[in-house]
Amino acid sequence: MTVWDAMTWASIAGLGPGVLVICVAVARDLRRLLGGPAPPAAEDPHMLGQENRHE
Amino acid sequence: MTLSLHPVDLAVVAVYLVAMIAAGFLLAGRVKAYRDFFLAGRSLTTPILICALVSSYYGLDALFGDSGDASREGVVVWFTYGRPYTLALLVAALLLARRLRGMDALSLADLLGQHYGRSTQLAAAIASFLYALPVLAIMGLAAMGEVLFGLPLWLGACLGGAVCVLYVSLGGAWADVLTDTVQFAIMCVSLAVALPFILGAVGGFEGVRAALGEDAFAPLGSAPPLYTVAYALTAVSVLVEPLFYQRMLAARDTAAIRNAFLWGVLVWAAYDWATTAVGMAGGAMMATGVLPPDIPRDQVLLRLVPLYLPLGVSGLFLGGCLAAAMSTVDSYLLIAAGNLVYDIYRPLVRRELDDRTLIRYTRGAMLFSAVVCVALGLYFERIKEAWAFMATILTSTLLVPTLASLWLPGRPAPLAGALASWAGLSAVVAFYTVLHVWGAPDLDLETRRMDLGGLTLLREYALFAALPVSALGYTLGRVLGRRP
Repeated sequence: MTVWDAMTWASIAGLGPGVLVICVAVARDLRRLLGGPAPPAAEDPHMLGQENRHE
Repeated sequence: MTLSLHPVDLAVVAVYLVAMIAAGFLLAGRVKAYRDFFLAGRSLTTPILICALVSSYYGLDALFGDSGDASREGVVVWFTYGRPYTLALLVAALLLARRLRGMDALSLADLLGQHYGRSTQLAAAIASFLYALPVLAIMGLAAMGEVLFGLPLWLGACLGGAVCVLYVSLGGAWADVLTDTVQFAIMCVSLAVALPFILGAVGGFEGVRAALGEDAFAPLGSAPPLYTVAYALTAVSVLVEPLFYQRMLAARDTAAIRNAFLWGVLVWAAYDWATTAVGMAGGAMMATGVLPPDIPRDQVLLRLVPLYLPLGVSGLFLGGCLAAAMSTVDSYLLIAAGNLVYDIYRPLVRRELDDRTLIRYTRGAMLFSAVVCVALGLYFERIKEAWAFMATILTSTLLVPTLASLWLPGRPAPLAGALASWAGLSAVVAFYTVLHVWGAPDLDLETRRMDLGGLTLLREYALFAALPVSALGYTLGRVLGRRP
């Protein structure tokens, strides 16, 4: 096996099984982050403009 | 050229598109505050960041452009063109992430505005907005529409842009990162599946060597050393890449950013090698007459799909092409719209905007940005040149003030940031103008050149001139300016 073949198989392993492992971890995190109840509505005065407070 | 695809392949593509739009509708209820809309609540974890970074930063220009370059130049594309970016990404992972800890900014322009004031924020926002416009990716979608469905370019660009605007404007950054994950999986796995089929069709690397010769396996290539250095220097643009700042500011913590970049570097390297390998296989097919020798290099990969990929896999691969383009379009449209509304409009009107208004305006700005992209893409034939110009503008305008704000001690004078950014911007525009007016085309390197005494100037050398000018502007501003 040449160095080019080795790089190719390493790429295939990374882009195939490696990426799928990452995606399983993403699914777990997204389920945790998005699985709960939706955040309060924007009409809540405490939420309004909270990103602009440094202005 | 329209590919004749099996209905199963077209169904794979259709299911993918419907799923993207459905994700936008499902996540619309999650968007309540601007922090949710633009930064996904600053809660992104390492795995989510890996997907969001890799899929958004790599679009069709990486897939088709790199494979096209590799078909002509060989492994130099992976070693010399690609690895300086790995180095810059490692710097971002190990140094930049820590410096951003605790900073309450929404974008790179916002960050600079907090350090230097409104003038610098405006220059940064303009450079960032122009750079972030995903013109190449939208035109890539248009080309896909032409190849897959025989659509005229303008219609493909409008439809592709509309789908992205629809799901991101509904779900904001949440929809962006969720769809990025799906797109990340499709674009990577489809390339991994296609690689053995395409490389096997030419007899592996021995077949490539027989067709292209030993030169294709020279890691440093044959370009002039200074040209190679100039090309490698473009990798510093990573340190002022608006997408990376948006992702880093959306991260849960510093460790998530650092780990995402470190893992992402491996995925980028694997993706780069896969595109290089299939490009070299395509080059071998052109050299041996299997593919016509006169096809545009960036179409090489697309031409291989119907020839060598089996049913279903070709649909998966074309879905991967769409995913690569759409993950770039959606993320950069969000950033460009944020620049327009949060970094340009909001400081100009000088009044407080509540979150609901900011979200509404950003949605509108996303649609406006998409329209501008389609118009630019259809108007300019050599759009790749325009993109290279904008990347140079971004680096020249933002690199010095950004690095200074993060690493130099004390709070610098606003004049330092303003002079550094506007001087860098002016220098690169002047350099390009001189080369455009008095220079001549260099057909070998596909650039413009000008001989000045014994010195040869290439367009790629703009950063050599602009960065020192920007640094000089910063120094002058620091000496002359009054600190607040």
